[in-house]
Amino acid sequence: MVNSLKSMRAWLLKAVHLVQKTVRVIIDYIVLIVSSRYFFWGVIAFFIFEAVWVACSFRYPMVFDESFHVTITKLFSNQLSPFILNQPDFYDRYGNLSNGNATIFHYLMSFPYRLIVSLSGSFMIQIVFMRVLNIIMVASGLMIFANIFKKIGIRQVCINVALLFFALIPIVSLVAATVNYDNMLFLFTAWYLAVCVNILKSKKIIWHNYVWLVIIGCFASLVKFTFLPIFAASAIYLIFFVVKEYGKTFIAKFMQSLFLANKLTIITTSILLAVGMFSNLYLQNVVRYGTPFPACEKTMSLERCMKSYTIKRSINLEKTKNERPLSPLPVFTLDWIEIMTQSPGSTAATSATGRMVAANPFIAMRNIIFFGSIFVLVIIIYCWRAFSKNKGWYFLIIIASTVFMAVFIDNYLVYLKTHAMVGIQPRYLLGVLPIVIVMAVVSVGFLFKKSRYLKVVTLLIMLLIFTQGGGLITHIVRSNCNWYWDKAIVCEANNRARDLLTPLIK
Amino acid sequence: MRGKIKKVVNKAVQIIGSRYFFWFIIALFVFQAVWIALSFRYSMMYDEYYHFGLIEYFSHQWLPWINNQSVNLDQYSALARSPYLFYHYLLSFPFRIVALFTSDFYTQVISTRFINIGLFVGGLVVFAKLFKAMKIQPIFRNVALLFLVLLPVTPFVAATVSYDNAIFLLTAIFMFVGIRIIQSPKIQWHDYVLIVLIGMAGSLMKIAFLPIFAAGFIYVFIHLFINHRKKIKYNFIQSFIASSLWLKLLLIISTVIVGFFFIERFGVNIIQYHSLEPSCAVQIGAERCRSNYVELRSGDLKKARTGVPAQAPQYTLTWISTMESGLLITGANTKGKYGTEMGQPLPIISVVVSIGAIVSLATFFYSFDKLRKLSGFWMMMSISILYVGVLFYKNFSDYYTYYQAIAIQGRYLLPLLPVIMVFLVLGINYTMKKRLRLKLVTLIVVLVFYMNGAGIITHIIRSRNAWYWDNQTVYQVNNEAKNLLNPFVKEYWYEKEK
Repeated sequence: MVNSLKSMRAWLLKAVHLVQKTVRVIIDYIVLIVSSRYFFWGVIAFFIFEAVWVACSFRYPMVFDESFHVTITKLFSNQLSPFILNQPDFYDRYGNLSNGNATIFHYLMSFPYRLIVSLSGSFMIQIVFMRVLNIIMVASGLMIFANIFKKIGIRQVCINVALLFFALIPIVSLVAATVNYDNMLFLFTAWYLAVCVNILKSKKIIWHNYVWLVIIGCFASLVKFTFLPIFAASAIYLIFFVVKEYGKTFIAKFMQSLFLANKLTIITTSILLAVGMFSNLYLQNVVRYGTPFPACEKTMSLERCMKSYTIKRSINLEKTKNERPLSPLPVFTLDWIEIMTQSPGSTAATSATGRMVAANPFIAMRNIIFFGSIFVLVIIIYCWRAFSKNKGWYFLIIIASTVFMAVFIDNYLVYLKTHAMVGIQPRYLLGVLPIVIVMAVVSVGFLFKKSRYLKVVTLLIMLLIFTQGGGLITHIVRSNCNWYWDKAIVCEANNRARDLLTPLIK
Repeated sequence: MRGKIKKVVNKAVQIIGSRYFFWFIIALFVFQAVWIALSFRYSMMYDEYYHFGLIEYFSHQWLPWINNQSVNLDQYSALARSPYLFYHYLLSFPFRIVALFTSDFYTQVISTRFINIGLFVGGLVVFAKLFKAMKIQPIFRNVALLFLVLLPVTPFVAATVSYDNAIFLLTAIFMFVGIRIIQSPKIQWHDYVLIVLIGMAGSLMKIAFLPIFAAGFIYVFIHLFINHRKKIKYNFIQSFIASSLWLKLLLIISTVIVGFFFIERFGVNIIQYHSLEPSCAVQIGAERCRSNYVELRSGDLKKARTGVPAQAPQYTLTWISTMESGLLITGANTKGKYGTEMGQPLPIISVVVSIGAIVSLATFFYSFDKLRKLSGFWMMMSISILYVGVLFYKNFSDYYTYYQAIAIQGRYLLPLLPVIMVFLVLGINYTMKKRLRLKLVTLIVVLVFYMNGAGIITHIIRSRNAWYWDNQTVYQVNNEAKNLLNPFVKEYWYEKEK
């Protein structure tokens, strides 16, 4: 009896040992896979697949002002100059184009547009082509972000996981698949931050970093004015850094580095072009109207401005603002958080009737984004010491915070003017969201320290939750044939995918 | 110059951290609460009619339960199995003494309100002792308590005849005994008995005390088993033998009596009704229940329920927002016991509290590693998390029953606010490290803004004559105070536009 008990115990111990070993091997494999470069490329491919699916499925125009961007791109395709000096009346519905509404994004996009128009007469192919270009911009932005994170010492596994979760937020693929300047801004933001991090990490002054900084900063601001806070905050940060690091020797060292460079003419021309175009728009606006982005009615007649739906809505909201109560700041803040955490999980499209249709996020997505955001904030604060010794981190955190603050303040100022919650959209934060997500992933890693088991289990649980509406799933399951291009194959492919996915979603 | 500034800063720190400053806080609190008690007419908005009515009812009988509920009592809901009566029963004794001397209703209400203020002051003193036992420096204790007594809800609840005041005191004592147990290297039997006794008494006063009791009890007993293991029985007996006869008698008799009531209420309720708090309809029938305002409202809300309820995130934000404003509002029942007229929070204090909450929570998590080393930190956290979690769950389940965000009240956080606030103050202190001047300047700046609506100021500014007792002196004093304060208090710009 005693012997059989002993042998049973030994057998049990062996079994436990075997299970432990198997689990360890599985975890090692998972870590190995997730931390590999292949996984990174897998994430990029996955993101492109999602966005291309949306681009090929959803009919024109998509909800994030796609018709505006495509129309202005078309306008530029008829001219070689990037400036609109005389705005035709037809374009009044898009606001004041010459003072900031038509941007360098539309101008640059007009070239591939010219190309595709010459190759294909199909409107669908033209739009899908431009959408794919936008997707490539975001994918390139993701690659640059991965490089930035690598430069500041983040492990590949954290980068991969962070970018995967970023790609799994439904709004990311929806915005990327839209012809929209936010996508080019995403690329420029990543590129600009990469240059900044290069400056911060570099032990000596390399002239081309600073030149690139100015050129990309100016062009990014010309893509969309919302880059201005990033430009300003980073400039202030870098000035402080340079003064602290190099003091009065900076100019001498910079000139020394510059004189060693070839092709000074190209450099000078590029800088002059960037600064010139920047000044032509923003400085001129500041001088003439007292603001870098003047209201339409300051630059054109009110009658013409009222032809634009958004301007008409703003003016009407301002006129009727006293009909609506003004909530105190804390209440506005909570409402703002609610919208900002609800929209990333939702989807929307223009239906066959031309009406905009939106679908609410799945419960799991809604909850994970809301409670996840709170958790992310708490964990980043708690694990602050994991980042505190890195100059690059500080810089990225300041930039991310600046963007969040700028968007919040802008929304609040609009609210004060109109007493209405308008223009509150999480897509404005997408440019810095990879920074926040990677910080959260690093924090979780720091919190669990050496427990690979816990890290892997957390990752698997999160991925399981994201199967309930993550990424493309929301767009497929929440949509219907009315949302798609009028092509039977598109409808069929989406219906089949929906039939496949629906049983998996609770 | 630097030397002078340093001297001034040191002096200020010395003053704020002194015993005198603590007593100044107590005096300030008593002044505010007494002002409200003397000004606001009966019944005040936190169900004063219910509490005072039941105290008055119990003053006519010696037994703490109501077996045959008359129809007159239906306005208080079903009472036969109610787990809320212990407070009313206990308060009926001082009420009897007051009633012996005067039959004047005004005097009776004011006296009972004063007793409640006394209970709250007792709570503040015990909380201060608790923080001292946790080795928190006097300056942080005082700053936390100062901000607490300057929250508009604090003197307002204290001035109301309400079981919340007794719960505030009992929570403080419960935690204090818990800390003593954790800190003591030896087993003191009376501390363990006390913690059970207070836990049961508190739960009999208000069922919301149960999570505090459960969390504290579990924490303390896990601590006991981890630290004393096999010697528990022996040490318990040793400690029991060593204590005085009077202590033994007092504690055993009290525990037996309160324990009997505890089992009689909760035990019987669970066995007979499968619920800690049986519904009113089960006890006296739905029709009679409609005499009670809360039951009436619940029934009506359930009938009127339409649409789709919001999801958890949306509800959570509403809950946070309502809880926050619930700490800053004022109000009065101008049409008898119902028809509450609310006074909205003043804007600046509202913004200060919101920003302060966000910043201090951030500093709390930032300094978490230092804070968790405080003696008793995990006990406090366990109690706070379980209490707030249960409160949120209760509100949330009510929401899914009625599709209306009801019964979300900032005052429910009061028993734990001293602890939460002292941790938040410590979090800010740890984050600011040794920048003494910055800390002092921050304190002064925050306090200046906070005063724009702090404590009694909100109640004076937002109230009107219909809220006060029908007394010319009360009208005059409050109106003069309002005139005096008005120029300093900022309203929302849109209200000025009107």
